[in-house]
Amino acid sequence: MRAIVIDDERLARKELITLLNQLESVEVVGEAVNVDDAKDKIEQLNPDVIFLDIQMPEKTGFDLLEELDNVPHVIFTTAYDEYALKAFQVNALDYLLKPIEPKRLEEAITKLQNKIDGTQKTETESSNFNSKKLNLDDQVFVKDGDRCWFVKLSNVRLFESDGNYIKVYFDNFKPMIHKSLNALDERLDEKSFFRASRKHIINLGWVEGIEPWFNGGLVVTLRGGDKIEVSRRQAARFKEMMSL
Amino acid sequence: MSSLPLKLMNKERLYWFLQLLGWGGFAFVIIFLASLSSGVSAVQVLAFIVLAIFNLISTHFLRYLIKAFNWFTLGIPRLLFQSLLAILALSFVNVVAQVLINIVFGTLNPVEDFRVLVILANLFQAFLFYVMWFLLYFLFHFLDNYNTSLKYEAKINEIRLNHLKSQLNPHFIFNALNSVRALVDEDPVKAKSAITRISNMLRFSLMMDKKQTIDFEEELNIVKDYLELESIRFEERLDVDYLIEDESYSYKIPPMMLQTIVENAIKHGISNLVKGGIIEIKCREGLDDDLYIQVKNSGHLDQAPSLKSKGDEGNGLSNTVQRLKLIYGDRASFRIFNSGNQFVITEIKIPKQRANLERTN
Repeated sequence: MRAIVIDDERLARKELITLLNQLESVEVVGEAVNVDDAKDKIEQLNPDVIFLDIQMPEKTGFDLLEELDNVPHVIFTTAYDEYALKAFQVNALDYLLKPIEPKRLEEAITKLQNKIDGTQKTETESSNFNSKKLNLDDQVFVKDGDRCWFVKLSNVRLFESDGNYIKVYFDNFKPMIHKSLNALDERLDEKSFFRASRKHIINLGWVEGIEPWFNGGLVVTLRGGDKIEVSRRQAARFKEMMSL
Repeated sequence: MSSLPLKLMNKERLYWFLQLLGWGGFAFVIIFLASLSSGVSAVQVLAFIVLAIFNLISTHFLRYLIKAFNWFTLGIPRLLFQSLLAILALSFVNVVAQVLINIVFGTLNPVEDFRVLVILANLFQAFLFYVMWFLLYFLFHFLDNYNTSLKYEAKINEIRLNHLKSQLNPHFIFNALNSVRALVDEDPVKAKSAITRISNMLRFSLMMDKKQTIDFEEELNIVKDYLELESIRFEERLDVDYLIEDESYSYKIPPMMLQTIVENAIKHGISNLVKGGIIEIKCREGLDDDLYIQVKNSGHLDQAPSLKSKGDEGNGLSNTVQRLKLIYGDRASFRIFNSGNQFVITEIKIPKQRANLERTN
């Protein structure tokens, strides 16, 4: 497992790297001192996991996750940050409290190893033909105000554009991310996600019913009851894609 | 709460003590005056004593009225009217009682005592005594209440102050401990001194809540420990400078106040800057026997921090402002402002300590 340690304090990085070096399954491939540095290193080194401090100068650890297109596995490291930790409890993302207990660290690594093994199996099965595109197993980081989520794309049923933002529909939430729908569309795997109209991208796995609509358009009903109109032009593509 | 009934009992006792002393004194004085003018017989003495006893009983009855009908809660006009009426009535009864006492003791002088002028004089005298008694009674109660409310106010202020007192920031403590862990391998000597500094700070923060103010030097030492520890964390990103005038050491300041300001300067200044910056602590005496403490840090204030907010998380600066106000009233001040584009200055002014500000218990 290849890891990058991200923390603005040299001694904090040193301490964590010392601990990680004692574990055989982890190889520390790099360290970064702030968000911009981290972004470069992650794109360059493509690590399996990042150890991420939350409070850093200018940009926080959360900002980094928002800026990354491909988010590796994340383990947060923080000294004492009730607020941030509370935000994450929903998703049970792993975090370590500084000073880090070696046993806790080992547990976190084991847990992560199992998770990586699990996803690798499904990845090989679904013959991942384009690694650059986001597929259903990928997770995206979403932050809206004080709350944060790390959502598996398979759980997202709908993206809806709203001005300069995109509303991400999953479970009972629809937080906003600052992105254009076109940019997102290019990043998504077209086998799983379909651009229904100028305003919507739907997750094909969530489609429950399809009905004809005026002008040769379609209305798609998603599990959970959301009804999305498919424009005429896209309806033709949709039929083409969905037919044998 | 066991002191409450005790206090009530003391008040009851005090009442009876004053009553007996007052009317005893009254009897003594009239007997003495009568003996001066014409000499008194034993029977007359007895009559005067009985009169004093009657006065005691009648004023006690007045007290009963005051307490039973809660006259303390009445408005002034209503109170004046009712008390005047009661006192007048009591005065009449008093005059009648005097006559009756004289009859019983055979000291009545019908020709002299039933003259309208004498009766009016007696009435007026009784009236005056009752009014005096009444005023004393109310004055005593007023002072007592005032005292209690002052004590209450002081207690409330103390509770407020304790609530506002800043605790050591746990984020800082754990980060410091984390750095020390790394230092143990790298520089054991430095690690040892860091542990000493952390324990100094912990000890200080545990002990300081017993005091409202402490010596300037004590606080400064803690701030030095704090900045030394933050220097270990931030390394070359933090540069500290002290400019302390000798006069500063004669002042007393609230514990953890400078510490809070410096911590704030680190949190919003240094820790937000990739390249880090400076912290400069400047203390000088003003012209008016007050101490100016300035903390200058690299950074920029985008908007004035809200100093009045009362959020749950306890904004360090707004707490500082409230603490200053509670301890010193208007004699202290607080400012935070941009100094050019590069620096932010936080400044407090603290007056020289007066003895009465120290907690008495």
